[in-house]
Amino acid sequence: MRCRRDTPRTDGGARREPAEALERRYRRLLAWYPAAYRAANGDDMLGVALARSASGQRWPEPGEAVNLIVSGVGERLAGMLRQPDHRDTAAVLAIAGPVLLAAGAVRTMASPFLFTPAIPILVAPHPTLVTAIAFAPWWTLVALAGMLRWRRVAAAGACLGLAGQVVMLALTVSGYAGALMVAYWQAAVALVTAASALGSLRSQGRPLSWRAVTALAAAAAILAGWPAVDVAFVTYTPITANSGTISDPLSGIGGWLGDGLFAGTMILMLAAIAALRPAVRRRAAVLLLPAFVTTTLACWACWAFRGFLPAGPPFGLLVLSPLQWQVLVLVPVIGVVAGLIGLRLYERLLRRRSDRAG
Amino acid sequence: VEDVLRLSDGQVRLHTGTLYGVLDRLREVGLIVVDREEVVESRLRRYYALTDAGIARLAAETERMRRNANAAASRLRPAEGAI
Repeated sequence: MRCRRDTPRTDGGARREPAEALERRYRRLLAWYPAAYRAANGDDMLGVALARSASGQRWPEPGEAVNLIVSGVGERLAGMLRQPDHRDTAAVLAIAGPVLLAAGAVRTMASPFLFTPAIPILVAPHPTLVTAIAFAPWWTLVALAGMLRWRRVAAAGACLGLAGQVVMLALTVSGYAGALMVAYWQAAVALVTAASALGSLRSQGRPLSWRAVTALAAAAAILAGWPAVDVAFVTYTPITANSGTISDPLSGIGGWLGDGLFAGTMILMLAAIAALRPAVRRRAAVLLLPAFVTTTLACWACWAFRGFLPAGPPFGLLVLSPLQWQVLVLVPVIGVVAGLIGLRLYERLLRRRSDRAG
Repeated sequence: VEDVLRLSDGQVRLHTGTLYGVLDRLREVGLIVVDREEVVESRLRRYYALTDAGIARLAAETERMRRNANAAASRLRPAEGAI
């Protein structure tokens, strides 16, 4: 209710104002719940929330506000996973994520063995190497558990793997900029993997056909083996104890080679998606499209990021340019959020079509 | 919410989101049903009631907790005597 300034406020109006403000704020918090849920329970919930508030209270308690937001978001996510097709899509992501992470870890693990030890700048930092040795078999086992439909094992493994990736991220904040980039992106993929694994607990179907598994494994092999192709013909000839010459006969076509491998990986990933069940394929495509587009654009826009090689001068965060910061922080977030919004719009479109047909 | 606060001597303060999450789960597994709805101060108020399965489950849980409490109390008595 709005009062004119020159109108003296009555006692009743003064009493009502905090209550109305509180109700308005609770309604805003309830907007975090899905519309259908609000229609069924909104009034009732509002009554309970107001009944537990103190007289004259104008703002919801912080704990109550956080609880309503978290519960509302949880209800939205749970609503998405009530559909079997969504659960099956989550089961696919719960396998694809660990495959990607395992490929990245193998790649990091292999780097020191591929480069000659006489070129120390190219060798992966030691902690990164140690964690990669742990992460490569771990994520491989999580992917296998998902393939074998050991859903609880896969979910537990994905959650523990996520915890490990977050620890890794925290450890790299003060270290190499390259390692930080790798750790952040890996943590984002691990988060999606863990959420998908938890969301697929009640999935019934076989998540991936053998054709899709073959395509995904081939894409992972290219990702993991990329550095090997890059340095396959690099030779180092020592001249003195501390110096030498590096010969790279492929340096002229290095860019084309990288583009070819990147394109090959993407084609194989698309082949893996194409081999999915149509209902799952469409949802996976809608979910992954923003991540695919933003990552591709980011890779092309920022040459230094291509390959996510854990290297770079040891000056922590300071060496990152604003563009690199945007890529580092925003791309995974945009990818995930836009994917979820896209899926929601797609479901709305399907409902409309079904209503028209009915 | 007020009952929970009173019964727990102010120890448990149930949040609205948590309460409705619990009510949804209990309703899904058939332990409670909507008993009736009333409009109070132009706002819908819903009352829930335990189903037969809910009463049986509550009785079983109460019995389990009583056994646990008895077991704890029986361990506590000799210790009190020793002091």
